[in-house]
Amino acid sequence: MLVILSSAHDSTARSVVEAWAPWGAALCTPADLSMSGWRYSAGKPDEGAAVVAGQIVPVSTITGVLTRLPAIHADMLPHIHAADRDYVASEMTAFLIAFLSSLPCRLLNRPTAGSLLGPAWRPEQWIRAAAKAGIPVRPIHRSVRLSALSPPEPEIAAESTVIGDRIFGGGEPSLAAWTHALAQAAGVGMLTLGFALYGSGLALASANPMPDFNSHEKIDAAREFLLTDSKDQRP
Amino acid sequence: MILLWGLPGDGPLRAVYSALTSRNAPVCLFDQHSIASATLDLNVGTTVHGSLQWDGKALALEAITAIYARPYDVRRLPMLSEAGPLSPLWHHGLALDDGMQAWVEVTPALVVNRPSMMASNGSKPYQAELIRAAGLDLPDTLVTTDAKAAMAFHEYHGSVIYKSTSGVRSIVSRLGPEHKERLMDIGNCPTQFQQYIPGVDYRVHVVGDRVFAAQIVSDADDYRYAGRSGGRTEIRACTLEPELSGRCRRLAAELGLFFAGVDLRRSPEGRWYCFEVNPSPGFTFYQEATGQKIAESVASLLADA
Repeated sequence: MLVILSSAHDSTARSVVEAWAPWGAALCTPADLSMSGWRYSAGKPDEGAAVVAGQIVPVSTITGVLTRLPAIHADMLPHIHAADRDYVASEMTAFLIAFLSSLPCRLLNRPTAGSLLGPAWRPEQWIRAAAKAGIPVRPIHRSVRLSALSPPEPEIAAESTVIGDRIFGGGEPSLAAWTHALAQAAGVGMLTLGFALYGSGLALASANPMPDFNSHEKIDAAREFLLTDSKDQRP
Repeated sequence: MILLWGLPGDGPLRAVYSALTSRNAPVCLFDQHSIASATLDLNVGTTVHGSLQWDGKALALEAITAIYARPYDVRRLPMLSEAGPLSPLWHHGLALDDGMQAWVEVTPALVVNRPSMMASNGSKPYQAELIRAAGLDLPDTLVTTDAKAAMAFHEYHGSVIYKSTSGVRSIVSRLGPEHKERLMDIGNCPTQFQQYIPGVDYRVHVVGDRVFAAQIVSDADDYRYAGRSGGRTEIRACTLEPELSGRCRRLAAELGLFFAGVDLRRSPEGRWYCFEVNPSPGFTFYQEATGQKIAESVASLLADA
């Protein structure tokens, strides 16, 4: 089974579930975390179980996970008493970080301690990681003053997305190479980079570990990546 | 220049500040009470530079060689909570905090400790796997929404505790017969249960290569709250076997922590268990009881960077 973890209101996630129906895909939302059946035994990942679309699913049947939220937020839990929502959201996020990290299957992206989507990096951290990897960067200037206005977002001239082994957009071969390099440095399988004009060429200006799944090709690339090495290659 | 970031009333921050001034180290305390007057300019590209100014002081970020970060949740500062979430001061406080967090992640200075390195403490079962990978034993642990599974776990181990899965501080409590009806509530949220390990608690502070161990003798399930249940706690300095000290040192290093508080328990059979690693330990509680020079050691780490 391919699991798509998202909020209940994520229409893209529902489109992915539909597209992956022949491979047994199902949506897991925060409401599923309030159902009996989840089980995580430390050091014994094979004994685990999840609740996906209301059904209890043994970990051994999960072949891949696509995550579309960085954390569970209080506003995703209308079924929880209002006074408890912040605490329950923190507990659910902490649980999912451990649970997903223990899965032996492929994940897009594998969680880190700080985020379900991979590195919980601020823009400055993406820029530093890119600069260290030899990628041209557009410097970020952050000025914090009482009543100061936020600086305008840089104008993105080109975007490049990596999903698994495939690259989308970009145009210039160097953008594809930089996108692969930064994804590798960050340890993620999916990533969208935005490039802005800077000096005599393009330079990295933004990074997003949750790409826009705005084409069938991207959805297919994610499925191909998740099912690589999986015995379950339906249909 | 060494920068301390937090509140001057915070025990650990005050102790490290005092140790640094005693050795005439160049130190500056960025007091979070000064948020209203503070400005931050941060430039990040192929280099990291900028400036931090507050109350007439100005620091070049590139001149800072070491940082001891113990920031308090800005949203809970009285001046911000009184101003309210719609006020310019609230937004400024959060923006300044976010900017500082960004800077301490990317600065080449020594940071005790970087937020990203501290994050594993936000998911106890996630951190537990890192502890296991570093060669330390852990109690058997189950996180579940299934009341029957929790009951079976309890019956198997005989005695079980429950505690928060996240970094939200909770009192560790023993599961008793009075909790059995409430177990049905775990269907709402995954809850962490852990095999109860009898024995003696130890707090091990790792500061760079130095290890300070303290034995804690208490009759409470959670010695930090012994007073509330009428229990007693005694803390005394001790020495660990070199092999165990080495494992604590390696664990802190593998988690990317220059300063850590490792919670251990030695069972009556002599087996050592690790419960968690605190990445921002409130060490003064132990230092005052044992006389160990932990603040001086942290000061030395910062001054030598």
